Amino acid sequence: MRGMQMRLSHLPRLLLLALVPFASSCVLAHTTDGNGLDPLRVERIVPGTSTRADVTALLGAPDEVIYSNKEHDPLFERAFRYRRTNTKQTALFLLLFSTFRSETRWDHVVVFFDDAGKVENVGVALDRDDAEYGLAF
Amino acid sequence: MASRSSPLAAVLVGAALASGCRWHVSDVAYGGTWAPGDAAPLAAEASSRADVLAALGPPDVVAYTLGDEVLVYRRAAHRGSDLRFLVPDPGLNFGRPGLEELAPELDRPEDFSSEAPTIAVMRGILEFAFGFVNPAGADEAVSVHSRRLRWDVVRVVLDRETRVVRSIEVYRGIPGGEAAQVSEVGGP
Repeated sequence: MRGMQMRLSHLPRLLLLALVPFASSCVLAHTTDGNGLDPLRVERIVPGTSTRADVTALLGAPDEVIYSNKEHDPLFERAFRYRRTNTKQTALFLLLFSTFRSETRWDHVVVFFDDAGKVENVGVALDRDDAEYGLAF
Repeated sequence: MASRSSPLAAVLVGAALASGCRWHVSDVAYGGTWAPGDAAPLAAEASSRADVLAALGPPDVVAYTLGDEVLVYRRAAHRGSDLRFLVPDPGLNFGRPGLEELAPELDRPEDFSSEAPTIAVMRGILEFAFGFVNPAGADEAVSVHSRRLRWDVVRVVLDRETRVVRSIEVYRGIPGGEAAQVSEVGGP
């Protein structure tokens, strides 16, 4: 009888222990969109010299072509955009508390072309590797 | 007897409360690493597109009107906490293990033939375990909470022929929360 009572006294702890696996979870998620852009290749794009063909040879097909034609004009490819996203997410779910952190950074290059089709300006931000895991506090 | 039942009751009540209410802390960052202050050196009728790109980097949006080239920069962030009330989905998922017999009219495709036996077995185990944890609910509970991303936006308008800046507008949304501040550096 006393042994039975001892077993019953452990019941709440056993129940609590059984609940723990179902009540908490931790998530690390890493999502990427395409490969990162090579800084050495980006540096080889020279304003005033490089052409559209040079740019595509260095960086591949653009993720977006930006047109600047006016009404009734033929399409003119004014700029190429390359953007490769990197997202790292950290989540922790406990009984009464949960936390979520998401950081999205990208390698982003926009190349503007002049009317002759040569590179006029280049905007570069290679921050893709700056995304980090972590807690929200 | 009371001393034995009270911890059990506390555990059950705690578990019930925990499933319905949760304090959530979140931190979300999306976009470029530029800051609104980076636009300060830019000046209307003086700065060029190259200056804009050097100060703010590549724009998120490039748009053209008949006379203008518009560059838009956007970055978003959220950091805060909220209290979440989780309401179980009232709809029963009759596809769950143990409940499928309640709705025999449901058509269940037998598509396991294309799966490796180990994958099919593991899928069955996972579905059974999840159905055991939450047999009457759907995949997700409904979470009632609010989260608002704050945006910093810079809009630069250039003359599309000369590539010289016509105006710069800065919208600061991230640090101030509710109060949005719009400052116009220059105009036509």
